[in-house]
Amino acid sequence: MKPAFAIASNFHLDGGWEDRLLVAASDGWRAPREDELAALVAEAPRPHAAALLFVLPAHMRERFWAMLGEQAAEGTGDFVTFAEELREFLAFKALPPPAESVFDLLVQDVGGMVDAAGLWALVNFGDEPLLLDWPGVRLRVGSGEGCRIDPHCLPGIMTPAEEPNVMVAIRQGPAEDRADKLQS
Amino acid sequence: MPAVSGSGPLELLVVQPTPFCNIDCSYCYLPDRRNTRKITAEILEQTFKWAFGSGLVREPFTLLWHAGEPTVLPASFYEAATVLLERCNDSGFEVTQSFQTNATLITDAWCDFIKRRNVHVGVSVDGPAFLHDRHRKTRRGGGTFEKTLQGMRRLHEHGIDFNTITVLTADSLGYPDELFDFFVENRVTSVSFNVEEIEGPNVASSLAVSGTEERFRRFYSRFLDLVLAADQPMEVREFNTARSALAHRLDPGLRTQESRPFAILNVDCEGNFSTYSPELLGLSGPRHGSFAFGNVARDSLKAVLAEPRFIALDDEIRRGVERCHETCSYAPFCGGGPPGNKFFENGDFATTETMSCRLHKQATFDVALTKLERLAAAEERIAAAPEGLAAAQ
Repeated sequence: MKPAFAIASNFHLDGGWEDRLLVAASDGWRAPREDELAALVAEAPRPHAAALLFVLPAHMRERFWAMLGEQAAEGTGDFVTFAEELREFLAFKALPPPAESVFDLLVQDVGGMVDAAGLWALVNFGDEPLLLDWPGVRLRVGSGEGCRIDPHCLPGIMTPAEEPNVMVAIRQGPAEDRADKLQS
Repeated sequence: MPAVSGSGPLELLVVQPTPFCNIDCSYCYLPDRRNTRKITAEILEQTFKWAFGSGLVREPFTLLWHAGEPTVLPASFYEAATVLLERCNDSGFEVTQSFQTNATLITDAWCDFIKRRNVHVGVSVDGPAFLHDRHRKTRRGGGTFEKTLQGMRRLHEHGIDFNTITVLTADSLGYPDELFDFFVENRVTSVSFNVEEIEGPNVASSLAVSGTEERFRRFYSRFLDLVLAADQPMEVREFNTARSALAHRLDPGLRTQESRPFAILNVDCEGNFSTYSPELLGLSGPRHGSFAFGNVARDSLKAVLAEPRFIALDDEIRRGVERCHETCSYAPFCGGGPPGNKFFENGDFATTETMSCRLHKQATFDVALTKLERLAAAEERIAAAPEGLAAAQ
């Protein structure tokens, strides 16, 4: 199953989908043709059936790295507070994380794997694009960008080529997990 | 009839050097912005002589070049105007010059003039390109963001501080973080928000829809939270206005700058003048006729104040202010809604609440109040338990 890709409401992202999406070809991956783009990209956000792209403001990205710097220097980095600010920001943007969702800070080394179970969204804090992998289609999530993921259409997270991926994973909490299992 | 002594004192002289604007914003209220007429030296001299000879100048005031894009005329024009102003100013009071500009035409020559004459500059910019270019367009429909940004950078390069005015439309209300980032990135330290108003040719506002008030309050609250949490200070005009209003409750008998006769004097490039809200100049109403009450070449202040249609209008505005005080709990803090908004939204000056009131006055006041209370509560907590806080840290 391929997701419908869209930009979340109340967000503006520079660049076009042709630069973000890759489709499978016989000899690897290529940019999608116009007709393929039309099939993959939703004109308007569809909140319950889409991979919704969003972007964090610069001040929040700076706060994230400052928090990591504080943690590295003095052990005082407060990820819980940062996660709450991220939750508030997404809620303001009418993209509220599930009530009992859990925020994880992930560093994925070259060759490392990330468990996609329960993923609601991923936010890329690294410098390099994060590559999400669905059957036949891949999405580049740029630095500072995030993707809200359809829980019924979870992607793989490609291992980084050189630098580690630095991301925040927002996972559905226990209540939503149970609900998903019941629905499936 | 208001006596000359009951008018003014002049606080703001708005002079239209030209009605022409080099860009074509979708929400602009100026009816004549394609007209390339320019004020002549003769009319400018008559304007200054009229103002200083009127008896209205009883304290320092601001001369604002506006109501068209002032930088369409070269800096040399304003250099000559400044010399003329100094020659005509026999009041002994200081006159501060101010430009409200889209900044697209700012050059090094402009910066030299601004610095030399200590001119205050306000730049109209609606935030990052994707917001700014939705409404602030060229006549061919292109964006103006890049040129505005170039102008802002040039001002910075010359060490010129400026404030900004951002017009909030329905599009903007989802983007407080992006606006905040834009201001920080471009070293803007003093911001003002206007709302897209229904005025003159702009007969509809994207904000005049159900749900706007709640969206506006959420926008403004989040923006203020970002400002209050920031490392670098950022002045927000609406926040400062609310704080000031809390400290200085207004007497019901007092009228604000926009509702007091000739506290503002608006003069167009042909010497026609009006007062009250600057947007009224150049416009007319079916019942009121033209809002230009005279011409600086021929009509004295005393004669205008004695005119029945001016007396009727002043009475209508006064009744509107009184009704604000009778019916609106915000009136002691705002002094009554701006007459221009009342006329354009309600069709009558003797009315009260407008969309502009609900958003730009009531919402900003309410939100500012919650921030002040929160700040005060935080300060009280710190003062009450400094040892506990220190230990927790």
